[in-house]
Amino acid sequence: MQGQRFRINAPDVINQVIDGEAIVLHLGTGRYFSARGCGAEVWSWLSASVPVPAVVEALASSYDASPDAIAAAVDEFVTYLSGEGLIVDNFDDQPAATPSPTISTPKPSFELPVMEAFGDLEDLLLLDPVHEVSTEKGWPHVAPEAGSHG
Amino acid sequence: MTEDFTRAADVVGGLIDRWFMIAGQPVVLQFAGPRLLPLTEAFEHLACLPQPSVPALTIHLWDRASTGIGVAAPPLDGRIGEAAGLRVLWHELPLRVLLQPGQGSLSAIDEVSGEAWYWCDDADALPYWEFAAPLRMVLHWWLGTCGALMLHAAAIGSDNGGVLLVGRGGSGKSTTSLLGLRAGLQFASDDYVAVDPTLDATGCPTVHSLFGSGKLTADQYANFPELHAGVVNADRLDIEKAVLFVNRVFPLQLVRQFPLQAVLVPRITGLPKTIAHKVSPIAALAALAPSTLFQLPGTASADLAAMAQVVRQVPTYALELGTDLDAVPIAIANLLRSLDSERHE
Repeated sequence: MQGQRFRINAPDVINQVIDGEAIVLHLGTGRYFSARGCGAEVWSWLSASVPVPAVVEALASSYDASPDAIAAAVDEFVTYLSGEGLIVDNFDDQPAATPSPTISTPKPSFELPVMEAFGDLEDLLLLDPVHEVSTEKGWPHVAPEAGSHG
Repeated sequence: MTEDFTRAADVVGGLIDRWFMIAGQPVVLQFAGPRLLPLTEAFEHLACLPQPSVPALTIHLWDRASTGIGVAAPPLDGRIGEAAGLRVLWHELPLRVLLQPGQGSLSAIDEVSGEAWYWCDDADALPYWEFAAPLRMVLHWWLGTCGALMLHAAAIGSDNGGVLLVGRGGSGKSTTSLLGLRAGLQFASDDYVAVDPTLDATGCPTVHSLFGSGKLTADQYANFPELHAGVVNADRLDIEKAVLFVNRVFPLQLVRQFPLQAVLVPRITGLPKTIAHKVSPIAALAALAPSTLFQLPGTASADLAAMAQVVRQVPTYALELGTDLDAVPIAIANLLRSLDSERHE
């Protein structure tokens, strides 16, 4: 994994990063994600096809943690993102992007990159009037457990 | 589809045109016969006289039951199917089509010509929510071509501007909008609204009302007796939510548009006091985007970017909803006054 580059699994996956925070939506699975720790930073670099070793190096220059610990955390993060179908291997031959880490002294402590998942959108499809239907019978049969709305 | 519509109009003896100003642009709903005219009540607050200019959007509407004319659906070839066949989206730009087999309806738009079509098999078989928020997908697609977007959000305000209330169902946005209506605030939406991210002369994006309606749960219906006179399906509340047409009870508070001052994410706390405190733009986007994108699919990437633009442009707050319900709209009005003062300092 260490030499790999990735890209966002578009068009199923869309994302926005604002002020160092990220939201990621998988339109195929109905799950959405919010980054915690240094997750948004790592997500931004991975989705820009920065190679994994360069991500680890950039984090090691920014945070107070051993490169081995950072590498293990990034590997675990990448495995999770891949498992959720948020990123896929990038085999194109374009030049690799380089990260722009924030360097401060003293280095802040390293917070594990985490992508918190929310899986309530399938419920949403049943809650909203547009979809307030039985998934078995279709329109106009109302879903038996459709709840309050707003 | 145009041929089908023309045949339907010939059968019933002509066309009925209704003009509306939607998101600030002239839109014509052209009916083959009167059967689908009840769909216009949700737009009554946007009605206008026929305009000399070419409409930005013309929607042709007809039904099979009264005209005998069906619709030639496009070849689907197993293209995008969603939600176990409940709806089928088909895009071959500039044409976008939504089939809803269960309710027997088809919506389509040609994004280049500005023509759209809405057909249903039988108006009597349409679900009640179709009358509260009609033509959602056509308007969603069309707004995207105008640089605006439809959002799953409530919107209330004052003379100085208003707020979006965002979040999934059950978060309190609908109840908050009804509380605002009862307290005298301006009302633009309880569920779906259009937003133009372009900054106006006051430096704000613009909220455009689409549907002058609300849908009340049984609890909301019980808690808002002053709205009962505007509910059109009071005899069917055992199987339907109450459909409220605001123009029937509070017409003066139903507004066409206002400047967007803030985005609020309501949260029910169980505590007595209502408090607004700042949250990050991404927190507001996380409350707004998922439900909007999954209910109004087809242009997700562009819509998410536009939503991000909106939450970057205005302050974003969590609205911790207290149990003193009368204090909720007061808190929102105070926040709006405060924001307006800040903007004029």
